[in-house]
Amino acid sequence: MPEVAEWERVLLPDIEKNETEWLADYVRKGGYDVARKALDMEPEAIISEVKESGLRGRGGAGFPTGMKWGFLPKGAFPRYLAVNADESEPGTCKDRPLMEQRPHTLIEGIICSCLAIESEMAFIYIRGEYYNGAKILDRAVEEAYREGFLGSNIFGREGRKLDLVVHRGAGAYICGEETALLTSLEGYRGYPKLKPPFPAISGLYGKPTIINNVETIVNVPFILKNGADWFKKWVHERTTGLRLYSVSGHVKKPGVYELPPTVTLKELIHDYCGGMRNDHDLKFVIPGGSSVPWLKPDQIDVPMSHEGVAAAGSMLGSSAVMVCDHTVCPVWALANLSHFYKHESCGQCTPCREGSGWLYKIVRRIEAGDGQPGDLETLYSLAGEGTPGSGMISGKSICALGDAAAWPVGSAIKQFREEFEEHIQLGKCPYKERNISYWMAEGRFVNESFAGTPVP
Amino acid sequence: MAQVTKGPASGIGATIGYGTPAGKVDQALEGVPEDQILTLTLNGEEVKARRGETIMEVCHRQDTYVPHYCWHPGLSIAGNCRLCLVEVEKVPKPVIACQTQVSPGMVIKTASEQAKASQEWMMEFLLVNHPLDCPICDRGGECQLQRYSMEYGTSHSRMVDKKRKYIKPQADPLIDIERNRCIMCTRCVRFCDEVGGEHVMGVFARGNDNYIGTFGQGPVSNIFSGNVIDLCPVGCLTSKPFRFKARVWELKQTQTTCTQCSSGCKITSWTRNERLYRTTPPSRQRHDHFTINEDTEEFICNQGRFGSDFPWHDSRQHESMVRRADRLVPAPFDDAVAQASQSLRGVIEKHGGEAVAVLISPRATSEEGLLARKLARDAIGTWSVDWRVNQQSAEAADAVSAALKAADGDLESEPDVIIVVNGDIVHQSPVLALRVQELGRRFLKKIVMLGHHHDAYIADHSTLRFHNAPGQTAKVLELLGNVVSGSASVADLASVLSRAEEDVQELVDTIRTAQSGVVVQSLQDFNGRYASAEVPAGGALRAALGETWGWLPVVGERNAVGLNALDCEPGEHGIAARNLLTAISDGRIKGLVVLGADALQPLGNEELVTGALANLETFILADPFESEFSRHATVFFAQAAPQETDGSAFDIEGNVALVKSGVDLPGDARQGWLILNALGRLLAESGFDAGSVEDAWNQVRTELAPESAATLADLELEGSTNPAHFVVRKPQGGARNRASEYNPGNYRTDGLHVRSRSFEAPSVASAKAKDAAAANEGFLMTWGPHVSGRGYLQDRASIAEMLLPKPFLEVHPRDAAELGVKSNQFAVLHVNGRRAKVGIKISKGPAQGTVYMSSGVYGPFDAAENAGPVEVKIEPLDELVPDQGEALMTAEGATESH
Repeated sequence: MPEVAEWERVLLPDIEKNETEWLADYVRKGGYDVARKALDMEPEAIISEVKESGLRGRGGAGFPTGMKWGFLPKGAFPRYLAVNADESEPGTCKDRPLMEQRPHTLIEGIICSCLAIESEMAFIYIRGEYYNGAKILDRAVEEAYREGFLGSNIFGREGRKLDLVVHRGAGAYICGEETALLTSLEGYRGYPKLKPPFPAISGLYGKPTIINNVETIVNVPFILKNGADWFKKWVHERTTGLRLYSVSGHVKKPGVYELPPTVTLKELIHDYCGGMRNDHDLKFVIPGGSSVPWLKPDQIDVPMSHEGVAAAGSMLGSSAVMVCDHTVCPVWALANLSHFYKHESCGQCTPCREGSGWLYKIVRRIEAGDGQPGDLETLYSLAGEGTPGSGMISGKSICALGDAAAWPVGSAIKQFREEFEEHIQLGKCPYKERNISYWMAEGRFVNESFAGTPVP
Repeated sequence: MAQVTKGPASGIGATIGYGTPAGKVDQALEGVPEDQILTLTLNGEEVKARRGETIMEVCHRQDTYVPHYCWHPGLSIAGNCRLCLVEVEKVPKPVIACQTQVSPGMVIKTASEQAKASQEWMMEFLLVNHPLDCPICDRGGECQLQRYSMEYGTSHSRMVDKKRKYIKPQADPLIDIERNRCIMCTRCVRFCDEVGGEHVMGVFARGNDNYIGTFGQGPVSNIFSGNVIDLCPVGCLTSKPFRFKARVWELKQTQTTCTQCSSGCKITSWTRNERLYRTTPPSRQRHDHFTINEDTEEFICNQGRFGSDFPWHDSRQHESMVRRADRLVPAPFDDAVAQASQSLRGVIEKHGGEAVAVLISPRATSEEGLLARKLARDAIGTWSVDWRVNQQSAEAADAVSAALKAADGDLESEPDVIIVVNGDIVHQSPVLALRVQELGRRFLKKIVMLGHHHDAYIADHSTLRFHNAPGQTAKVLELLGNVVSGSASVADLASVLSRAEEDVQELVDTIRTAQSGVVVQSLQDFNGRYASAEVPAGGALRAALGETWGWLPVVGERNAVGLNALDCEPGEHGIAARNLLTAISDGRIKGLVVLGADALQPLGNEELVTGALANLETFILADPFESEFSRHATVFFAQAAPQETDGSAFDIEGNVALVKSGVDLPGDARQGWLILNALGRLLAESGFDAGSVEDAWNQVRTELAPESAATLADLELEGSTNPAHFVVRKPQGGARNRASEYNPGNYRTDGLHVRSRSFEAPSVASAKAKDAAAANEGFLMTWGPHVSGRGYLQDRASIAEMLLPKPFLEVHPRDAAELGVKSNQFAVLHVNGRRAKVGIKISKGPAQGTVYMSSGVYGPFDAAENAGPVEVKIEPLDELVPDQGEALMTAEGATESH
């Protein structure tokens, strides 16, 4: 393994230990001091500090957090903060360790954020499958209430209050979409709402609401503690701060890596993650969660910032990197992803509901060897070229799930057109036989797990 | 091709969808402050719009059709079909017209390349899983999907994979659900939530596999449920009674008015071969033909929609009959008339004209009413002519008459405050209740509920609710009037209502600060038992409220207002309908002329009535059916059923509308006005010279509005052919005048609106009914009629049993908690020494300590038996009311075909 630069780790310094930091430990290390300090700050001061730091949403869209907070209408109360912990994007697993290991950092972040937006009620909408996370958060919230960090008269200040509710989702990817999260939180079917009005104007229960990702919120106390300039130490163009990269797939050391945005995708895969599994060749990378366009091996020498990845033709998204080696059939991988979006589409609006199902049916058919000439053209016209607004689905749906279902299809065909055509011509998937011969040659047919590879 | 009774009114036939005459454009922005008006460009044309309007609203006003499925002017915006995507300059993505609000300088293109492509793509998506079963689909010919496919879609589909298929549920007895055809516009779901008032339909499963259905596979239980059939833009929800009976283009459409209740909804009768196939809200012109308008806001109730086919009951009598040697034998109409006049003349000569009474059905048209009155007063010489058969007593009937005479309120003016007094109005005049509810729901008017029973449907959108004990309503109304006029204190009223003074103060403040208002007072509970006290009290309240207020007393009889205005009542000289049976047994009445046997049935139980009929010397009956009553007739005329009659009828708000027959009459049957006219001609020398229904209408018009020149044909006018019905309004601002939009002619200016010009409080000179005794233990059972309850005509509808409401007992939530019962739980009700099993429904309707049930629904609670509130005991059972669909459904859910 080549030498790599060791970076200071802020958010998850001891991720390897996988231990929960409970209140006593956290307070001993100076926890909640920032929240105390924030109590004396003007809300505008907190917002301007966050704005100054250049903190951008870590959920996927990368919207500047301070600017989002500034959208709240003046004098409209009550306001709510909803923390989006519905981390369901395939490949993304960065919020889970944050919640499981540093629940109090999250709570402190929520306190600071609520002080900034003058909210007295916050919600954590946690993914239903994160049972342990919810249990840990429940206990941590209870601890914070007991210590008087939450509830009425927080930190002993008369009249300052903040209530925090941990709400578990019921297992729908769509509820990670901010407005669907709100409808779900309200007790309705998790349908995205029509925008405008945006949640900052009319969100939860029709009140101004800010929705932030867990990682975004966790960054807030660090910014307030160390200042915006400290946060801007790690910068690539307009992407600042250390980020958590969840790397999965065919690398030697998959995991969550806390790195600055200047790190390149190549370094991430080959240096930090130890390179490809079994030293296979890299086939393609999905650099920002399952919905973003794919990158080929010659496109990966780009910094992992919003701007860097965009320059390569993809998106940083939730910075979840999925790596696939040369045994992965791109058609199969696409069918897998398309099935996910077909299954997770909420079904509210036409293009996404019908489009995601239709995309899946075609891709699955090609993968199964029943592809027909013209299928690729149909896919292309449905999904476009994997860019916003192109094709029949993207930009026509209520929320971004339609786009998310379409982009991988368009980009996969663009990147691997000849392989799709090969499937249609052969009437079968060439990878199946090829992979068997690989595995036979490597003599590891029996005892290894082939996660992510198609079983013949 | 569809036959229509009236051709296109203008050259708008070629317009796609809806047109708006030029005047309407300015009208919609009339009175809007200058700073609220902005200018934008629509398809290259500069247009004005109100701030806050959506693109869709502006487009429709400007006669620019934007295709849409999920958007409906009467429902909330869902934005899910994405068919109304249009291009807006400087916006990178196409935007949905139904939800995007206009902004100054916006450049909208509804037919640009981008917009057209988006619409075409959405159509292709919708057809991806839609089966190509148009030839066997009941929606064929009036399907929005078919239409848009032609106008906005492509001619072929690229979809080659297997389509999604669902199991077909049997949830509702009236509405067929074919989920494979559904395009998930959720109109039906929103309709049930918002208009139907019950959250009974929903979206199930997720994503591409989702489908609509009802919770627990139960029926869509509200009285407006049939409207989801018209709202459905595809063949997913179709009418079970109409299924596979006919193709819509083979049916003849007749624009007429419903004859079921006093709401007087405009409807279209779809007939073929002299048979009614279905009833829908008015059809509208589209292209060169008439079809159902999926965007209609004219919702009708299930009774009107499904219960209007009673004329085709097996007991229909086609021939007139005369009595010969104790037997009724068929006779030609002229012979029957001669015989009838002869026998009437006999009675008159023997006992005098006063010994004859004339009874007419409250469903009679105004023409029939006028001729019946003339027959009684001029030809026979009796005062005894009456339509008020449903009221409990002659006093109650008089009170109702006085109330209808004094009535000066309606809902057209969109009053600020609506005080609703008593009554399960949604089950008595359903669409009237819908309009009150809509004023609260969409137009954000304040609704105040008073009385011993509140309409739970309206109460959901009310701001204030005050219950009182049964029989106390008159006192409350009187006191409220005194408080408003300052002669009583709030404390007095609070003590009568047993509520906190602040609450009552809020009520008084609401009323005082209102610019305008209307008192909607139901006189139907206990068939008007307390009417003689409540009518003067309501009138006094109205008088105290001042000129900007109106008073709208409500009864359920179809043409109550018209027959009242035409004075088809005995007054103080004659014998009221309720006293008729006594008068017959006293021997005061020897001859009886009845138009519509449904007027006889409410007078008493069958035995009592037929017993009295047997005592008559002559009994002339005109009725469509053979019945227990017809067997006693001296002469029987085969009469046209209410919906086979031509004429006019008034709704409870005093608006006149055309009733038009869509069929030729069977056999020797005649319309009622013709029978009365022929009879009158033989009995009197003059006054019965109407040669056509138009002549009869002219007599009505001369009497009610001499200054008007409207012909009967004018009444039809725009109701059917005016494409301008489609004016979109926001809840705030903008005049909404449904009557002048939907009804023919501007009858207000024609003077054909029966409402008093200057209010005069009615005086009712009768003894006050006794207050109800307080229940010692248990509950006071209260009741009121139901539009679908048992009745002479209702029972003859082909699906009467399905329309009959289930025996549910409405219980106040606090009482339910005390009893430990839940909604949908069975309970045993002890009433009048009898036991009956009923379902419990927790409702905002009844006051605490009382329970409510519609009469004519369930045998043990016959209205005639229980004259007023009776004491009952409730014994909860550990058993739940089963859902209708449960037994019919075995497996449920989405299955994928591959």
